[in-house]
Amino acid sequence: VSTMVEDLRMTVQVARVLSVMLANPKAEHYGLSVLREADLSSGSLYPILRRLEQARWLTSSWETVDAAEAGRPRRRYYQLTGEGVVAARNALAELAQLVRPHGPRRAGAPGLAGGSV
Amino acid sequence: VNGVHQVMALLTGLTVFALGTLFRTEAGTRLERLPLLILRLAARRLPLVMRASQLEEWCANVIDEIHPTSLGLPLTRLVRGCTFALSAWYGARRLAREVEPSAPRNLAVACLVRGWQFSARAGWAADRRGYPRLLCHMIVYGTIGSLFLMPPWLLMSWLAHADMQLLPRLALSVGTVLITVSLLAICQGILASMLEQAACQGWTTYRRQYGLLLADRTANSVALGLILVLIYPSLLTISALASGVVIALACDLILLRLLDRRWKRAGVVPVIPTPLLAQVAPLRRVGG
Repeated sequence: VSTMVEDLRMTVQVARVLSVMLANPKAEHYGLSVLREADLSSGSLYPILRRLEQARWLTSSWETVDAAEAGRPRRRYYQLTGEGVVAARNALAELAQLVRPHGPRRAGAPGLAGGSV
Repeated sequence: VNGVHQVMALLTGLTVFALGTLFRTEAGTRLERLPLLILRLAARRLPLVMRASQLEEWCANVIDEIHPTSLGLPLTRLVRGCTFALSAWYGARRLAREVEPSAPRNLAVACLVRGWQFSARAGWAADRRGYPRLLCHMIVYGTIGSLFLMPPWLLMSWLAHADMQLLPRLALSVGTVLITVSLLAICQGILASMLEQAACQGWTTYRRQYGLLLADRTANSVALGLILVLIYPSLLTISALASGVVIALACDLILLRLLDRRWKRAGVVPVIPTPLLAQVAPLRRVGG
């Protein structure tokens, strides 16, 4: 089954989440650990995770544990998909190229033309 | 003081101590549950389809957040838990909109970003490079900001008696504080991003990015918040401001109409740029 990833509105916060997940792309990431490592608030993180999931950059799965037995709610883990890893790497590479000081400028980029400053 | 008094004093002391302990325990237990209560309220802001699972995820996270690391520090745990929960509560609308784009926004944001499309599109049209957008935003948000503050000001003008002015003054103050606080909460991430960009790219690029960033609806809220704060001290000059602002709004609307026609003819839909990567895709062609 083909799972084409969708384009995503890239912000610095999304980039932070991706970089945390790309540090260990095969691992399952717990929301709270991503939150701490990416230094985001919960109000920002979960919409981003949902957006990434909807764009098929990552998938989520529930921990297989009995909540009553464990004495806590089960956790939800997130993992980058194969396509998501590629897309995330590309996005971050593109981002790195953009933020490189005095780097080459893309033709036709809005807001960057007429660079007389 | 006889023996009976001494015994009564002792009993009273013991009772007060016991009650105090009970109250402390009761208050502590209830306060510990406060983050979970806030999360339940947050879940009510989500669409039904995702409510239960998201609440479960939040609860698992908040329990882990407040338990192991700060054991024995009840206030720290309370603050951490409530911070997590309040942030989740605030972000719940955004989360809901990821799943259902028609879901309502946060009320404050919904009011504040009303001018977003006008000003961003108008700014885009005036010059697709972003600089005039700053001016357009100033004009449009000046309008909205002053409209927010007009009703209480008018009330204060009409109600001559000093005591009667208390209510509108209070409404004005509370409203302004609420809006400012909510904006600061939203802005936290954006401002950090902007500083990060400034650090990465140097101030020259940063200034350009700032122009682009203003097209982002969250950043718009920041701009409006700042304008609101700036306007507040000069409340008495609002009437003068309002007339100019109405003209500006009319101009914005006319410009928008003209642009719509132009864009339709050209078959171009303006994509409002977002920070950084959005620069790569400036315009989306409709139908090739």
